[in-house]
This record gives sequence, structure tokens and C-alpha cells, in this order.
Amino acid sequence: MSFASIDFIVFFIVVILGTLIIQKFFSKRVKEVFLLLASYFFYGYWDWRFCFLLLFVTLSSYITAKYKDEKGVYALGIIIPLLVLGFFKYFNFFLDSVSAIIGHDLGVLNIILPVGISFYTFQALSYVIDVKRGTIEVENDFIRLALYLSFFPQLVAGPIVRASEFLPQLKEDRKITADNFKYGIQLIAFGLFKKIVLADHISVFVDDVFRVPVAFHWATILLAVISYSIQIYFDFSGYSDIAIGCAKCLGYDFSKNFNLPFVSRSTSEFWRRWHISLGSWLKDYVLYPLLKSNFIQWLTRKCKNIFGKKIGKKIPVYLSMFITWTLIGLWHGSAYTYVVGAGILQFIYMFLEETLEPVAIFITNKLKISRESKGYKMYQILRTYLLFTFAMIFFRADSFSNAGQVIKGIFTLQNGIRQPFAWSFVAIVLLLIFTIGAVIKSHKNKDKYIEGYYPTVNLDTVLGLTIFFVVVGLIICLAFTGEQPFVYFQF
Amino acid sequence: MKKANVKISENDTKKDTNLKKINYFGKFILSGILAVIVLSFGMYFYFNIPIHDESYDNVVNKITNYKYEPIEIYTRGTEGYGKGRINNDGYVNIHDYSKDMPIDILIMGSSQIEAFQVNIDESITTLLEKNLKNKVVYNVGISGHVFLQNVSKIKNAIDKYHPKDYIILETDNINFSTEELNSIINNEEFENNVSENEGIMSKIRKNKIFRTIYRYSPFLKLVFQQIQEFNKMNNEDDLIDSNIKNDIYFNEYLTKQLLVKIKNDVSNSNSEAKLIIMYHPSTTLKEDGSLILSSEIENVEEFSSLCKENGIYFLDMSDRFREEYEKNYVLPYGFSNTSVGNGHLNKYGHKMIADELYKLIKEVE
Repeated sequence: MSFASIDFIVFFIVVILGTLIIQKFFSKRVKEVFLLLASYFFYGYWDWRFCFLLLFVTLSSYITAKYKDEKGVYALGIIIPLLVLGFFKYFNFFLDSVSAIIGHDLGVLNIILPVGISFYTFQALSYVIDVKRGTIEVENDFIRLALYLSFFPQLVAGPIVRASEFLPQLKEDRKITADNFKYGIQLIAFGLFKKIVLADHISVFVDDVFRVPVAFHWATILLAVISYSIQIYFDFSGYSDIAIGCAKCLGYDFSKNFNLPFVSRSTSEFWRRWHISLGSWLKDYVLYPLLKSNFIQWLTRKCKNIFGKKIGKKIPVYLSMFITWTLIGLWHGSAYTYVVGAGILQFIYMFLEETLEPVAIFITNKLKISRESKGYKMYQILRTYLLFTFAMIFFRADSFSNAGQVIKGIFTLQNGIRQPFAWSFVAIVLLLIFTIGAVIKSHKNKDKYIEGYYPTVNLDTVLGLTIFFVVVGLIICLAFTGEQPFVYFQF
Repeated sequence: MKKANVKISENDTKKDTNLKKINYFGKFILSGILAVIVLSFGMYFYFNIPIHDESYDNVVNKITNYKYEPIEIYTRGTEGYGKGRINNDGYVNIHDYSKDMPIDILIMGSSQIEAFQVNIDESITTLLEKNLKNKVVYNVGISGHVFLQNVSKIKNAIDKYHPKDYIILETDNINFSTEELNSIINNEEFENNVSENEGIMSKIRKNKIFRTIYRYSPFLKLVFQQIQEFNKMNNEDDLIDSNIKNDIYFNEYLTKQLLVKIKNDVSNSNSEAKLIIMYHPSTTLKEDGSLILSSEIENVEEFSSLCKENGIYFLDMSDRFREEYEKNYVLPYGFSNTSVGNGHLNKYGHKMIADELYKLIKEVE
């Protein structure tokens, strides 16, 4: 069931009431079992067969982590989640690619993609790896581990919560409290507003333009491309806010998954602010191990010999980054458009930002522009945003030719239908207001790093409650009533 | 003694907690009321739609299945943005109605003619009247009233409004099911498909107190609309199924009989008004950017010649719609807050139709 549905509201109320009763009259163990069953019910609501897959991944992680010192078993702990993910998500993509290479259609298998598979398999992997590394202790309590992997707020679209972050919370006796609930419910409302009011309305326009880009005026296509970057931000960060809010209501804390990505001055900063849990996961479990791997060490030595110390040192680093970014692209979906949009292009941007940095310094020095001036920062923010937006054309497009039509439409100043989509402007204005608010707040606090914040109110006062009810009323009134699943469900 | 003191302090704490709870509950209710007031004020400019006139429900010889309570300013911003008024007769018109009012042209149609999605001065009715200068154009178009429904009420409309020159019937399709055609030809009551008259929501709305609150709270109106839209979305599959069940195709024999019936209804009412059927096809954008019109799959030519045979003017908007798209990239449907080319007529669509109606009337005259 989707967060943005009546079914979920009913489900969540039942879970909250059930947990309240249990925490008053029963033991912590009963609460854990209740939350576990609720989470499996939540997941099985899509398709009950998915629950068996989740249970299988959980069992494999539980057993393999316990016997981590046996080399083969530990390997299984890595291979099983990867095989599950590979089969369900990438098998047809693999068949397609092989078919294209050999020029013979191998057909496809009729595989249903279980929702959220990329999220819980990654959590399972990190648990086993962390146990092996000694970062966390092995979890002997199966119920607790199962609850960690299936906890419904983060089950289908993240954030990717680390075992080191969540298992200790499960061990504590976290309870539903009035303060937690008042805070959590506001995050849920905030997320819902982003998702069902802004993102879903914008999706109507974006879908129209990407379906027939050749029919639209270049300015409209450009607006659609900008709108998509905002849509996906509101969609995914909205989901994360709801997830964080739901967990908070139940007494658990999740880390922020988005932190004002559109104020980033470089692509690398952008990815430290966008889908933070995925970026840090891949850094810890792919990039760093890759850099430390024997192959990369060997390659570094070879490259240093051939290209000299300075360049030779960098080539293997870039190769590792390229592999990591390709994986990030692939993680988003089994299509080459994802690989390019969320992967390779992002790598290219970072590569260029780093290699062209001396040139940028030279030019700014020549022109006597301070790199810390507001103007220059604005230029960097705009550049980063536009580069990201350009990459998102591939991410959204159905195919490369579709992406080509969109790009061509903009750059050839194509004539066509003009659609100044009102919801896009509403979303842009709101985004600007909240971003400027965050910048001002950070300046006031003399923070160097601009931090996002949740615009919460004090629900103990009439004013606070009124504002909250007005927001809830606005969500009901302005919600998009068509069907529009969360974009990140597919990942 | 000690025990008694402990008991007293326990009781005090309990009392305190209860007082706090009551206090918070009071704040909660007060805030809720304040929020509804704030939202209603805000929504006044966004969604202050008229409500159904319940007193019309039991009227005999109705023109339409329902009409609205008069309202000086309505607003509707969920699809396009429209601002206008409901006249004393319960329809969207710039004129008020009076019995001795000379009506030259009567327009009957669905929500497309009702025109909640555009400002009243951008609607077909107002534009046509402006173009014609010295004629009174009167609109009884209302949501849910498709072509056949209006055909079944044409006699009642003539009896009440006595249009002098023209009766314009709007339609977005010309293929009907055998069942529908037969029921109209045999003077049976056409089934009302207006969802607002059905379900629990309409029952709640019929409650006197709630109705009064509803009348003055645009916020509640929008909440109801959202619930209805949500239900509609959930029932969409059923609708598709029922459409498939219906044998919708062009039945030349029955269509001919239908047109004869319309013609007879007009002449039997001793009216000399000429009939115009205005057909506006739906549009879809093809992947190559070209425009497909629903008229391409409907039997427009056959319908047109049947109209001609029966002395009914047939206005097909297909050419104008295509021309406007190919020359100016303008589509007749859709708004800047909804899907391109889908939904109701936008201000360009209304203007195109008003222009073409004007041309046709001038030609006829």
C-alpha cells in the first residue's frame, strides 16, 4: 500500500493504536512482533508472495551473519541478496542486452519486480558486511533483525537505514510519546504535501511533454525538464519525510535522506545532499572497498609507472568512481537511460569539476572574481542545478531517442504548444521560499554548511494547531486525485 | 494521615492531567474551527462552486435534471480557472431570466457549455452574443447533460424559453448505443448520470444544517469534490467495463429516427427556431506530434447528411480544431493546470466554437 492512500492512513492508525495498547499492557517483545507482523502485512498488501522473498533474504542474512567467519557462508551472505536483486530486477535487462549484442531475440521472462527490492537487499548486504567488519555485533534475535529489514516506514522506498543506526534503537525500549507523535505527524504532513500536492500535479505536465516532445514549444519543454527535476525531488524527499515521520511517531529516529540538494555548489556536494543514504551506502560498501582492492592497488602502481605519479594516481580512482556511478545508475533501474542519467553523466560532471578546477581558479583570478562572493556561489549553484537537470532528461526519458527529441526541441528553439503549467510555478516558488528560508536560518546560526529544516510548529498552542490543520486542509483540497505512484517505488 | 495525603495528591495530579486533557481538547476543537474558517476564506477565490437547487428536484417538465441555486460569484480553479455567476434561473448566464424575456438563441449542452472552467465572458454563450450584437443568447448547459439527455428535454425547453431563431445542441460524439437511441426515440426517461445526486455524499448534503454550512464553506465544497474525484478514479475500471458492454456504433436507421424526432419535437412545440447540432470532437496528440480527432473514427459525414436531410444544421468543429493546431499550436481542450489537450474546452476552444457558430448563423441568415 502506498503512503498516499486511504488504506495506509487506516493501517497507520491501527498500528499506532495497537502499539499504544501494547506498550501499556504488554512487553517490548510483543510490540516487536506486532510491528513485524504489521510490516509484513504492509508489504504483502501489494502481493503476498513478496513476503516470502523478504523472509528469504532475512533468513539468509541472519544465518550468514551468524557464521560470518566461515568464508563460504559469508560469501553466501553477499551473493544471495545480490542474486535476488539481480534476478528480479536485472535478468530481463541482461537478456535484452545479450539479445542486442548477438542480434538474436532471446525473449524475456515474466518476472514481477517486487517493490522496494533494491532497498531491503542493500540493507541486508550492509548488515552482513558490517557484522563481518566488526562494525556491529551479530544480531542473535531473529525477530529484531527481521523487523530491521522489514520495518514498514522504510521498506519500499528507503531511506536505506543502516543496521548500526536502527538495531540499537530496537534494543532500547522506544515508545510512542506525545512529543514524538506531534513532531512525526508534521513530517508526514510535510511529505504528503510535497508528494500528492506538488509532485503528482507536476507529473501530469511532465508526462505530457515527455510523451510527445515534438509537439511542444522549446520553452515548454524546458519548463517540463525543470519541472521533472523538482517533481522527482518532491516525490522522493516527500516519501522520505513520510517515512521519517512514521518512524518518529512510533518512537524511532531515521537520518535525513535529503538536505537541500538544490543549494549544492558542485555535483559531488549535490550527491551528499540527495538520497544521502544511497550515496553513503555505495561509498562505504562499493567505492572504498574498490579503492582498497588488490586490482586497483596493482593498477595504481602500473599507472604511476606509465603516466607518472600525479596522473597515474588518479586514473584508478576515476575508474573506481566510474564503476560506482555506473552501479548507482543501474540501481535506479534496469535501463541504459538510468545508467547515463543517474550514473555516467554524474561521473563525467564530477570528473570535469575536478580536472577543470585549476582552469576555473586561473580564470577567476584573472578576472579578479572572488570564489567566495555571492555572485560566484550563485553561478556554481545554478551550474550544478542545470547539469543535474540535463542528466534527468535521460533519467525520465523512455529511450535515448526520446531524450534526444527533448534536447533537440530545446536547443533548436522548436515551435509548438505553449503550456505555462501553473503547478510547476507554484512548486518553484515554494521551493525557492523554503530554500531561501534555510539559507537565512543557516546564516543566522553562522553555519558554513546550509542545512535543511522541517518547518514544524508547536502543536501545544492554538496558533500551531491552526497552522497544522490549515496545512492538512490544503493537502486534502489540493491533492492530485489521479493515480500516481511514488517514483522511487520502481527502484 | 500520610496515606490520606498521598491519596489527595494523587487525586490532584489526576485532576491536573484531566484538566490538561480538556484544555488541549478545547484548543484542538477551536483550532479546527479556525482552520476551516481560514481555508474557507482562501478557497472562496479558488473553489466556491454553486450548489444544486433542491427545490427543483420535484418540478415537472424539467429542462435539465437539476440546476443550481443562484449565486453572484462562483469560482472554480481545479481545472482551468473560471469565474462567473448563476442567474436567477439556475444556469450560467450574464442575463437574469424573466418570463417576457425575448430569447433568440437557446444553447443546450453539457459541462462544456456550462463552462465552469473559463470565465463567464470567455464562454461560447457570451462570445456568441457579443459577436451577434443584437441577439439574446441563453445558456441552459449543465454538467452531466449529454446530447441525448438534452434531446429528451428539448420540448420542455422550447415551452419555457420560446427561442426565436435557433436551438443549439452541443455534442462531443455522434455514435450512440442502440439502447440509448431507442429510449430517446420512444420518449423514455433518459437515465441521469449525474454523480452528485447519488451516494452518501448527496444524502449528507440533503441534511438542512449541513447544507447551510456547505453552502457557505468553499473548503467543504472542495473536500466533497475531492472525495467524488477520488471515488471516480477508483470506479474508473467499472466505467470502462460498462462502456464496453454498450454497443456503441453508428446506427444509421436509429440515428435518422432520432433526428426526425428532434425535428418533430420542435415543430410540435410550434417553434420556428432552427436547429443546430454543434459537434466538437475530442483530440489526442500522436507520438509524431500530429493531432488525431475523434471525428476520424466517427461517422461524421453520414451524420451530417442525415442532419441535412432533416433540415438540421450540423456544425463540425474538426477542421477548425485541426487548423488552429497546425497553424498556431493551439488546442481546444486542456488548461495550464491540467493535461494538455484533455478535459474541458478552454478559452480558445470556446472562442473557436463561438466564431464558427457565428459564421454559420450569418451564412444561414
